[in-house]
Parts: sequence; C-alpha cells; structure tokens
Amino acid sequence: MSNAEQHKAVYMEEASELLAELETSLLELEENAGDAELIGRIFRALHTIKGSGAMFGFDDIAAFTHEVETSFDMVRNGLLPVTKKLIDLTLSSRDYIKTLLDEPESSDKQRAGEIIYSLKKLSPKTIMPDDVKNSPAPPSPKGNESEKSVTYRIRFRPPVDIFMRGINPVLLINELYGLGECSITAQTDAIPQIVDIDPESCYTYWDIVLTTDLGTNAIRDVFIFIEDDSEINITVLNDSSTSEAEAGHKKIGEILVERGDLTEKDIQKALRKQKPLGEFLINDRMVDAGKIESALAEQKHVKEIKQREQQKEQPADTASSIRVASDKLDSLVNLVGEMVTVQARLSQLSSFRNDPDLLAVAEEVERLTGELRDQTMSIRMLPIGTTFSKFKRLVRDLSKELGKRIELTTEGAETELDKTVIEKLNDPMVHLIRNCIDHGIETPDVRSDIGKPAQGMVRLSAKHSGAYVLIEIMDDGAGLDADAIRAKAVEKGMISLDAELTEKEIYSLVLAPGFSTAKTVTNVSGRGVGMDVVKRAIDNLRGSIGITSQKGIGTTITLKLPLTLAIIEGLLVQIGIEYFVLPLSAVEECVELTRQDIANAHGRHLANVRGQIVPYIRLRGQFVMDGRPPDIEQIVIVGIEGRRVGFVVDNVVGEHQTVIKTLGRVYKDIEGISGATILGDGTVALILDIQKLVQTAEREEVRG
Amino acid sequence: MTIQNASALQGIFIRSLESSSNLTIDLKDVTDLDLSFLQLLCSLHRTSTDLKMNLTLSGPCPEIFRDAVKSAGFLRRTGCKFDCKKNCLWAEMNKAAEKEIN
Repeated sequence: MSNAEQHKAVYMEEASELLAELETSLLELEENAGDAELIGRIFRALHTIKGSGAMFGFDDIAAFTHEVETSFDMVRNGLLPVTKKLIDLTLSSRDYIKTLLDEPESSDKQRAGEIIYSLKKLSPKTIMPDDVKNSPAPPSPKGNESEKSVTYRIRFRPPVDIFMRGINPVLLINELYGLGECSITAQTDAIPQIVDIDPESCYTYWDIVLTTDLGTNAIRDVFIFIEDDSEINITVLNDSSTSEAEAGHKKIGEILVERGDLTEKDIQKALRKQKPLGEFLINDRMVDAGKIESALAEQKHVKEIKQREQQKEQPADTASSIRVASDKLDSLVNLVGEMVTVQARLSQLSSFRNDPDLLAVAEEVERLTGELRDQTMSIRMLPIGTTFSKFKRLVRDLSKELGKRIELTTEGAETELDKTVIEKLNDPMVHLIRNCIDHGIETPDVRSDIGKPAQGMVRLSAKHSGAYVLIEIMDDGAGLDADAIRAKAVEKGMISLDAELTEKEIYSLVLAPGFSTAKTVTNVSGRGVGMDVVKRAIDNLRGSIGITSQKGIGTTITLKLPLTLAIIEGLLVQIGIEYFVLPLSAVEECVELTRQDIANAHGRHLANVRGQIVPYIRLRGQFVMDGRPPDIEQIVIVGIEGRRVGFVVDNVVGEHQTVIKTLGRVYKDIEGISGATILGDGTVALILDIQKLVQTAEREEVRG
Repeated sequence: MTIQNASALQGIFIRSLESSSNLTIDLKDVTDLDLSFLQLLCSLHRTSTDLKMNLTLSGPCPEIFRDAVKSAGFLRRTGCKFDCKKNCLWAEMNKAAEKEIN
C-alpha cells in the first residue's frame, strides 16, 4: 500500500534525525552529566523512536528501544546515575537502532540482547521499571489532600492531521496512566456524518482527569511533539488557589476525584462518567437547560479565547519549516539554471532589437530571475553544524580506541553551505580528522612529557570568505615533519634530491597518491590511501586544500570550498571565436598586454603590472588554438593560493551568470576545464579550471 | 481496521447504507484496529440514526476491540447528543461489560 510505504519513509527519515539528535545529546550529556534537559531530550528522542516505530510496524525497533527507554526513564527519575558505561551502551544502542532501520536483515539479535543485558545490569536491582512508573501514583492512604498531588483537568484536542503525522493519540493519552491515576473520556461530538468524514483525520478529543504529583510539565511532556498544534488545556481542579467562582460546577467531580479513599476501580468508574456527572450536578441544583448551555458556552468561550491565543502563535510555528524531498529541490535548481540561461538569451535578443517595450520586459525578467536564483540557492543552503556534530562521535570513538584524550571544539557551525557540498564534504572531513587524531595528536604521556596538556584538541571551524567557505581543521599535535616528508618524497622519486621546495610545497606533497610517512600502518590511517582521495574530492567540489604546520605545535588544514556548485558568477572571455568563463571570485584585475610588453619580457611569460612581476599563461597556446592573436591582448589576473597568475585572452567580454553544466563522462579527464555553460545565443563556453591550468603550466615549465 | 484502510472502509460503509436499512457489523475477525476505525463506527452510527436505520454490532466482541475502545476512552454511560434512539454503540458495550462484572 503506497500510503503505508509513504508513512514508513517518513518514519525512516524522522528516525534518522532523531538518532542524530540522540547521538549529539548523548555526547553532550557525557560532558554535563547532570543536565536534566539533556536527559529529557534523550528520553523524548527514544520515546518517539519507539512510539512511531511500533505504529509503522517496526516492531523490532520498538521493542529494543523500549528497553533503552526504560533505562533512561530511570535516569530521568534520578534512579540511575549517568555514567560513561551508560553512555557507551546507549550509543551502541543508537547504532543498533540505526542498523535495524537501514538494513534490518543484517541486524544481529545477539548484539541487541547483549546491550539490553548490560543496560539492565546497570539498573538498581531493587527497583523494577514497573515500580518506577507507578511510584508517582498519588493518593495518600489517609485520604488527606497530599500537598504535592494535584488533580488536573486536561482537554486534549489533537491536530486534525495527527494520523498523517504518524502519531497515535490514544498511545499518548494512555501515557498519562504512567503519571498517576487518570480517567479518560473521548468526546466524539465533532465526528461528522459518514459521507462527510475524512477517515484519515482525527475528530475525537479527550477530557482527561489526572491526579499526579509530577506537575504540569510532566503532562505537557507527554504531548510535547504535538504541543504546538494541539489544544491542550490543563486546568487545576483541586488547587487551593483556584477561586470558588472558577471551581464552580466542577466541585462535585473534583471531590469525587480527590477522595483518595476511593479504590481505583471506583475512581475509574466515576470518572468515566465525567461528562454526564457534570450534567447530574447541574440537574441536582435545579439549573435549567438553558443555563447549562450558557455555562457550557461560557466554558467553551474561555477555551476558545485560549485557543485563539494559541493560534496566534501557531501560524508562525507551522509555516516555519516544510519537509521537501531533496530531488525536488535539485530539479528546481536545474530549472532555475535553465531559466537563467534563457533569460540571458532574452536580454541579448532585446538589446539587439532595441525595442523599448521588449527591453523593459527583459529587464523585469532579469531582475526576477536573479531573485529567483538567489532564493532557490538559499533553499539549498544548510548549516554545516549537522556535519560537525557527526564528527563528535568519530573523535570520541577513535580517541578511545587509540588511548588518546581528545576534545573536539567547533566554531561557526551556523555557516551555510550548499547541501551537495556538505554531503560530499563528509568523507574528506572524516579522513582529515582521523589523520589529526592518529598522526597528529600524541598519546597523553608523550604530551605531558613535552609539556602539553594531556588532553589534545581538534578544532573545526567554518567561516564565509567571499563566494567561498573556509573550513579549518586544526589540531595541537605533533605537526608535519617537513624533513621526513621530503625524504620520503625523494625516496619515492617524486622530487629530485636537490629540489628546492618551499615549506608549503613540501606539505602539499602529502596530497600525492600513495604518500604516507607513518611508520606503522594502523587500522585508522597510514596506508597512504587517503590524502590524495581527499584532494580529489575537494577538487571535484572546485575547492582547494591548504596546509600549514609547525613542528611540535600542530597542523591546520584549510579547505576552501565554493558556496554552491550550480551557478557561479563568471567572467566571460573570448579567444578567437571561442568563449571561456573564469570564476569571477578569483579574478583580481584585467590588464592589457601589448606586443611591446611581450618584446620587453624577452620570451618569458612575465608581465610587469605596476612594478610587480606577474607570470602569465597564454591560453591560446595552452589550448593549441589556431589564428593570430590581436595586437592588444588582455591578461586576466587571478589570485590563486596567495599568488597572482595571469591568463592571456583575446578579449574580455564581461560578467556572466554561469550555470554550470558538467561535461559528459567522455570529457571528464580533460585537464584545465571544469565544466561548461550555455551562453545567451546558445553557444557553449567552457569553464576554466584555473588551478589545474596553473599546475599544468608549472609542470611544463619544470620539464621545459 | 486501521488508518491504512480507513478510506476503503468508509466506502464500504457508505455503500452498505445505500443498499440496506439494517446494518450489522460483525467484529469477530478484527485483528487490528485504531482510533480511525472507532471514529468511523461513530460516524456511521450517527448517519444511520439520522436515516432511521439500525446499526448493531454482532457476534462475540473480540478482546482487542474492547481494549481499543477502552483505551481510547470511548466507553460511556449515555450516548452523545446525536444518539436520539439511545442505542449508542459505546454505551451498549458498557452496559454489556457491566452486566458481565455483576
């Protein structure tokens, strides 16, 4: 059934999010063991995973999570201390749930058993989970009003679409039984006729009378996931502060509820009749029907006012976010890309025609398209923090495995980056962090020997810089050993013995395939596959890697990544009849190159720009293009890795909104071209990969 | 009898209202049900009452149905305001249950 599958898909998605949240909270809890809010968050995450799991037929998940939840219920009630062991076990449970979710066939029942057994061993033996649940049961044996126990009247009206959200309201309500003595009456008056009813909507609402000593917050906790969209009115029935007038007609009901000497069955019975009881009460007082109506209306009125107040806040809440499948977003971006291309054509066409009406329309379209593009791009932006939090777990597990003590700090988690970039960034980041932990940071005793704090530090930070995001991975470990890298490179024949390399160039050697200076290969890293993969991944994202390091002090790896992969601001240039695009963010300036300048340089590709020598690359030569260059050529000077390099072209056309199209697989190995774009008149312009071009030119220079 | 086939069930109920004047619902083969089913029953009862038709639940009432009704808080002493014929399904069930206890 497609509907059921859809629900399952939603559940899987939500559960994954909850598991991520669970993980983050657990790791935070490890640092602040007493934080009740965190414990609450963990409990709720487990609770929702269990509850919705059971609802959608993920019975294994529900059963397993129930056990874990039971333990955390004890934690929440202060019966079980937060220990490292507990957190370890809960993290393993989280992993196990993840397996159940992703690949249920491969789940290992034995492992589940072990986790549950260990969790149970942690719990104090004298207290069984059931006792915990029942312990807050309120009535004092003498029938005196217990100071803490309060009886509440709760009106719970779930949102109409509660079924569609995968929440079973009955389960929620039945949770109230866990808080204390409770009676539940369903109100069915809103259920429409069979022809009008939407069978997938919830029309039922409930009046609940609950006696508990846990306070209103505990009650609200039950409804926490739907609190914002539901009508939840909690009225204190027996609180002395409630004025007579307010208590009004509820009096008899209240007394019946509070008579602690009634048996549970009696209370259940009595309370089941809650609504008729109210009517009896009024009848007994010889109040006529009209007054009942008005009393009810008044009651309703008060509720409506409350409801209205709630609703005032609601629209913002409900409209604040919406879940959209990412492929829909991808196709939207593609469409916007096409739109930008077509718009460019329209602008070009209108400027040729020189028709004022057409020009006006074209300008309007241009403005709108620009806005549309920016909006669409911003939809795809996600804060990088989600990725950062994943690494917390990585650092924790790895450092434990390697017997190191490492703290991970993050900065700029709110920095936004294109979703695709974030996704593709995950693996390289994992690798870099592993490197920091394995190669970089020393073991605690080594560290204290050399006077560093025993606890190592890895810092992740992200920040915006123009059209790029800079991500820094910094550790305070041993740093890179330039001599060792050099020796290794010579040994591998990557550089000649007498090659003169700057420190930066030496560090960049580690990015070459097959390079590793680690003396022993651990299962974490050291096999020499990795940094080149990282490099390739970052290159594919059109980013770059920078490495700085100080021996004994630490290493900083900086990833420079473009904000988005889909559309860039480009500078359109022309060589012969061909068009090319350079990323505008890298372009610093454009200067002329005359025959005279070339003659003055005596055959070397160097230009004198305001007294500064700038090397340049003749693209005409690089791409082996025929034809004679014009007398005055243009140099587009770009900044690349802190240097200035010029690209010589025939003509600079101007700025261009570049919608990046990937070249087909056939062209994927072509160096110096990172993609293509379609211009307004339909011709194709290639996008230059300036970094690659510079590298190629440098290589040729060395050889030549 | 859950949300997953609630739409289908609604269709069946509507059709059965058109074809006959006395409706009997046999619950003995119900294996799973949720609130949506209870709502549908309530709704059907409401409509059938309006149309002056009889709706009864027949056969032995399965434990699962009784539990579901109870845990959803549907059991009641008297019918709702639409129940002019005083044969609310839930009130009937409640009476039956009380008889059993006594």
